[in-house]
Amino acid sequence: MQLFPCPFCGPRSESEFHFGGEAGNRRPEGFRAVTDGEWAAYLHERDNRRGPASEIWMHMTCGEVFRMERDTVHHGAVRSFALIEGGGDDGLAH
Amino acid sequence: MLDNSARWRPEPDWENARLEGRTVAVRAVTGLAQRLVSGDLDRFLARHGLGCDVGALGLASGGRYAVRVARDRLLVVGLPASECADGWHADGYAVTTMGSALRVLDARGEGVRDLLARATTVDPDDPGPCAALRFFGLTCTVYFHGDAQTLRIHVERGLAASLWEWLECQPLLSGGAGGG
Repeated sequence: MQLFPCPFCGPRSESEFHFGGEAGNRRPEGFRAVTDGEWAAYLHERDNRRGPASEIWMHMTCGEVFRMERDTVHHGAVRSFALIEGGGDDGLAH
Repeated sequence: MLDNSARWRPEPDWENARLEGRTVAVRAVTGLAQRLVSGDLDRFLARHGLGCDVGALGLASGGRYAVRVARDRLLVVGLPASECADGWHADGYAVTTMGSALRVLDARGEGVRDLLARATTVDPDDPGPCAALRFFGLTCTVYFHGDAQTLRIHVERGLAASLWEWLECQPLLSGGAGGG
């Protein structure tokens, strides 16, 4: 069992969490002005970095949505940031 | 023709449902007023004199208390609608009656810590401020009520029978079921 840090609840089992995607994957604005290429990139293209990654997660039991820094090599969860407390102000939340 | 009628057992008779083990006993608690409060929780707690909210495995006492289930959400027990109406309140919080949505079980005895170890992954020495956690894989609200040997579990009504069946299967509670 791996523990993930919920910014509100503290350390909880990974099974209580749901992956929300890479942080910073912003939905293209502009409705009809959005090209199919931009839309396809939003839906399908991912950086999928090796090593340190910044991701959006949801803690299913309390409903907290947050950003977590995690390493995709050793799977260590480094730290988490509550979006409600400014964790997304750097533009990394989507 | 597919017949699913025998696939599930009828729900227990919750008024009389009992599970008795050597070190722990479980029963359903009925008739509790349960309200969900979202928004400015500090103002709500102050207005209704509820003191501090209870977190995971925290100790609640009496018939009227508040349990934290999210950053901005409380499950309040024992607050009647006559005292606080459903809907939005000008103090900055919303109240919803939840009495029919959640089934409440009490597990009592010196074996409750063993039951917790079977049902959850939470660290009993560092459970955190939020009482919403996975119990038998279900999102439940879990805390102690009255003393450290009485564990109270709020579970979604539709999943309560499933939780009850799981409890029946536990070695801790082997030795007979009543009311099922």
